[in-house]
Amino acid sequence: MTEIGEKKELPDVFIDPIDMSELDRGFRKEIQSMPNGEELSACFACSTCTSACPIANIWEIKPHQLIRMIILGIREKVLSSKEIWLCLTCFECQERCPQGVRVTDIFFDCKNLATEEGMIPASIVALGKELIEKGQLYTVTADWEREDLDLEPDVPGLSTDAVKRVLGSTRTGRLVKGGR
Amino acid sequence: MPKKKKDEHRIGVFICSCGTNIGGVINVRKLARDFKDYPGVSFTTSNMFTCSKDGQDKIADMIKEKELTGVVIGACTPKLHEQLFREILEENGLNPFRLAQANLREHDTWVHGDNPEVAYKVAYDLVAGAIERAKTLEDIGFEEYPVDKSVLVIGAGIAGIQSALDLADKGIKVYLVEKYTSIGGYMARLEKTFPTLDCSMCILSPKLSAVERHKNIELLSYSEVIETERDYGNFKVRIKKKPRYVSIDDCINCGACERNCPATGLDEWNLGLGERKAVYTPFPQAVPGVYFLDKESCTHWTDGCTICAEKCPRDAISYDVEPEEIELKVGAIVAATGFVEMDIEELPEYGGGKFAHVLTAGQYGRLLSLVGPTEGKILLPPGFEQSPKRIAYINCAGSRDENHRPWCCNFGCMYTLRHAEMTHRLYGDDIDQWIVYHELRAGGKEYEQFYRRVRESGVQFVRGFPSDMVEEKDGSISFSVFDQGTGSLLRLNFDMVVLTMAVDPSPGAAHLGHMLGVDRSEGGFMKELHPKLEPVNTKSRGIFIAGACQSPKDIPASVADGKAAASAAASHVLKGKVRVQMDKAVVDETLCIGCGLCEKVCPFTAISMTLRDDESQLAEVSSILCTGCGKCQVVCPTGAIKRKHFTTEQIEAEVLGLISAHRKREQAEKTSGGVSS
Amino acid sequence: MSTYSVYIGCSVPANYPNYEASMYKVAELFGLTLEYLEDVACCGSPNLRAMDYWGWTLVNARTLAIADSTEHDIVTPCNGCFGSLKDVYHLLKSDTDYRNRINAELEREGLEFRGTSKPRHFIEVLYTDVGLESIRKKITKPFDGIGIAIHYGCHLLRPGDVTEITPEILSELVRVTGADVVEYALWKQCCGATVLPVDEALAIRLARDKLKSMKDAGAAFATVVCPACCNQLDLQQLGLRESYGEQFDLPILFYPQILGLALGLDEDEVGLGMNRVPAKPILQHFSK
Ligand SMILES: Cc1cc2nc3c(=O)[nH]c(=O)nc-3n(C[C@H](O)[C@H](O)[C@H](O)COP(=O)(O)OP(=O)(O)OC[C@H]3O[C@@H](n4cnc5c(N)ncnc54)[C@H](O)[C@@H]3O)c2cc1C
Ligand code: SF4
Ligand code: SF4
Ligand code: SF4
Ligand code: SF4
Repeated sequence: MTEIGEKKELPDVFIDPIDMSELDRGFRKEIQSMPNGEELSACFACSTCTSACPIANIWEIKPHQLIRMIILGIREKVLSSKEIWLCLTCFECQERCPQGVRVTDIFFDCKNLATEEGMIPASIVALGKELIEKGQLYTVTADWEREDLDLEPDVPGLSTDAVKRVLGSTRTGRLVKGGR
Repeated sequence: MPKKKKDEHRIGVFICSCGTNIGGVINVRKLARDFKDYPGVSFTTSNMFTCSKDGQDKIADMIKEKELTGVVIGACTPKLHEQLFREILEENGLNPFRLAQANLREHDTWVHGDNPEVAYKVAYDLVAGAIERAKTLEDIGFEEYPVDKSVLVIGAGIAGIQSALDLADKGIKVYLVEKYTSIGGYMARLEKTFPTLDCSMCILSPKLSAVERHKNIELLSYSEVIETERDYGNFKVRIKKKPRYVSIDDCINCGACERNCPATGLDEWNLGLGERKAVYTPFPQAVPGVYFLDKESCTHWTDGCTICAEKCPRDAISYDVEPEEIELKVGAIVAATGFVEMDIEELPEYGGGKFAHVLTAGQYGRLLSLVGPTEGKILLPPGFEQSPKRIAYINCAGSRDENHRPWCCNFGCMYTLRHAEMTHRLYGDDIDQWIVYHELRAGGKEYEQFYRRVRESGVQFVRGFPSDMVEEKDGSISFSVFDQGTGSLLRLNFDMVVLTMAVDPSPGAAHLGHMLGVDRSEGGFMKELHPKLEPVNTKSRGIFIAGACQSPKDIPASVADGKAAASAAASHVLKGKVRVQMDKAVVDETLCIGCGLCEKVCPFTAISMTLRDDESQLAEVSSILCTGCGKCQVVCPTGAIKRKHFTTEQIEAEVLGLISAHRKREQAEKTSGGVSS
Repeated sequence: MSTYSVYIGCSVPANYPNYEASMYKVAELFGLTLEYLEDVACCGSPNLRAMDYWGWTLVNARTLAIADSTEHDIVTPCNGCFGSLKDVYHLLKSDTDYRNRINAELEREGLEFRGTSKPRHFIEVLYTDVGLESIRKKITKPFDGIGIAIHYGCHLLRPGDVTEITPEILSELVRVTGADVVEYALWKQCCGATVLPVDEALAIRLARDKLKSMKDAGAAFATVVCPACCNQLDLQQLGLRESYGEQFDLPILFYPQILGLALGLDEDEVGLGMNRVPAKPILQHFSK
């Protein structure tokens, strides 16, 4: 018999299934309205995408599970997953999908939504910052090498202003400024 | 014709290699050689394929050249080629029953493939037995009986209807017996059909009218077969016509009776959803297209109501009609008695029969019907006022389940997709639809494409089976399901749950099967003669099966079956006669003591006891009923009854031949120190 | 012969002038005129696509629109640039709504995407416009059948309906130089470049497995057609040796370097000295 006295907190163990009310049934349509998302619903859960993925083995949520979660509306879990950012964008999954679901493209859509909601790795934001500040991802450091090969010393034709201008007004600009 | 010198045996032995089936395990040439000097054998050889043209020619040539008195073939099971080999014997002047086959494949090389030495010994013994048997075989003749150019079709679903129409078109008289008040079967209940979504009645009703109008079809609706009996080449059939109480000839379908009838009963056409009057017609295009009075729900017999008879302008209704029995003679029978959904109460884990908002798919289909209880609207029973917001369809309810029905219902996946698609077209996103399935079977032409279309329309698919189903206070249904797609356990809630029910053969299929001498497969479905090669024939000659009574089948397959059965039945009756081989039981009158034991054991009632002149009993065999099972031969205390071609002597000869070959070899092995032949 | 608008990107000129130079020299030998596109923006590659799809399509649509005004096809030596340009091109060609939205933006700069100038990878120009036969005729110093493993790069081949490039293109181009193509198990696998910013260990592991697979299959050299892949396979070998003691010594050459040598260019003209894993041993493998 337990002594009557101070009550302990109920142990915090998660045994509950996902309740229907937690599902965002609009998520599927949201993705389907994004570029290359239309074929999403054709998925028949075969998991070929996962078989084709060179790194699915180290993913907690596998590619096909992400796709099924989108269809089912488990939005939060998909957008906050680390897996979408680990994707190599190698398109092996998409290439093999027997139903023409554009799996990799859809993960790009997810990353955009995640970014919009602030769930983006800092290293990627840093890349965006660099892009917007320098106007290019790589800059010439050894121009003597170029000259040895009879090439112009700087990157030919590249306008760094254009990048700064265009991306300054899109999400990249907002992100870099620290907004959402 | 080979001249037979009495008591001289000239047996030809033909050993088949059957490709590598036999020859890959044992040396068939050696086996043939080893029988060269066997007593009574005058020729031996081996072939690559005895059933090939070469092989056949060899048998034919040798029968003539060596004037063979018997042929022994060591090959595959007699089930495959016995008939062919018998024909070769007959064509070459030898009685077809002078053939003995040793099954070297199924009984030996397929079993002992890993031990060629044992296989060889077994092969030798089997052939020796067959040779001894061949020495005892006698000539057996046949009898021919006329066959009537008429067919009885039992069950007027789409399979039976198609059979009847095809047969009638060939000029064959067809009696089409349907136990329900209208023909059409389950298809008449459907609003649309997968995968094309064409209107079911639009494609069915032309066939219903064609049945009604065809001069070669006599339709016996609301009737049942109560007895069938083989009558030489034909069948004698007794049929009970149940009283409709409304005269088919007089009713003009005005509906006055129904409008005024005060009594109601559960609407079986709508699968128990709602009620109908005691006098009614199940659906607008019913055939016969007249009213029908259901005695069970009518109160005439309890309170003397006669309202309908009074209201009928044509005096078509009369209450004192007795069931009528008629007798027919037909040359063949096609059984097409279809299927039923399993009883929902057998599924308490899905709230079957307890939860008001759990329906069978058949019931849901009736909701979708424009002439159903809700005129095509999806409304919640029992009030039929509100539409559900969320529907779950649960596939394989009771199917593919060793605790219920281990077989696949075959069309459930497809009609569930159809129901979801039709509902989507009617309600769009107003009804959130979920299909809970485990494997989705969409094997027919253009079925897979239909499945994809339904996925694209936004129906949610969850792979798994539900558990912990409960009815909430508001009547909605909750259950858990582990979704294999996302790898997550979900707790879902729906306003309506539709069960894709397992299916059973029609009630009464067991009784009918027994009457017709047709075996039944797992679950009681009618059994075909061969699952691949003889799908509409049965082990009973002249009896054919079609449609979902053989196994659950969709409409295209049932129609194909109906046509196949019609073709098979037509070729049976159009020959005009059957040839019955006399390898049956025969009674030796001098030995029969009239004990009647054989009569008792015969499962086909082929034996009857007659009186001799001296008043003593004598067994008599009807060769048309006797199937040659041999039970009588076993029980007869005096050996008076013999099953020809498998007499005790013949069986003994074979067994003794086999044993003595085995013994001789053992002896030889002992003396020579164990080297086998 | 034909003239092309070259979109060189930022990585090739910044990190791999040997790729840029060998491409130009080879083009010259076949009479192709390559003109740099002016005033174009960095493609942003997968990372921009991931965080700012709209911005990514906009910068690339802008480049495509500029190319449209030159009336020449737009050619790039970089898989990343090619993937970006071709994907956006594909999107704008098939999605009218999206195109209208993009063009509304571009209008401010007086530009319009029309899709007349098609984005193409340099190897595809060699294969289709020059053709294997013309190449073969010009080969003066064929290789001796030495085994070369090909790393195609994901964004060259996939998604196939967008890139419209099959692996055979590059295999045939390697074979025409007299070299042999070494088949290896992980031929399709990614070099790992994209995940470098989020999971360096994974990126290194992918590069290492790839190199090992090539080596195990008997490759003496490997070829790439993308600066990012080259980072992973060539540069990364130095790190693998230093940090993990794994030494492959597998020289990685850009395809135009290999072709250039076979066409008789000398090692300096194709910048062979700039390859990180010494690539000069290939000079021992001419058949004459
Ligand atoms: C809910 C549901 C939806 C379906 N939807 C489709 C669809 O969209 N497309 C499709 O292709 N298939 C569909 N099917 C399958 C279709 O119903 C069957 O393929 C078809 O009905 C089989 O035809 P049948 O003639 O063999 O049997 P049935 O239709 O069952 O007909 C048998 C007939 O025999 C009668 N009978 C039974 N026993 C006797 C007896 N002893 N004496 C006299 N008569 C007897 C019965 O009363 C009945 O009229 C569906 C099935 C269900 C349950
Ligand atoms: S391969 Fe395609 S259909 Fe199969 S699970 Fe992945 S996305 Fe779905
Ligand atoms: S694109 Fe991403 S998810 Fe698809 S196979 Fe490559 S790494 Fe896996
Ligand atoms: S057809 Fe589909 S629903 Fe019916 S038992 Fe087979 S798998 Fe289950
Ligand atoms: S052999 Fe069988 S079927 Fe024939 S009479 Fe005897 S018991 Fe009946």
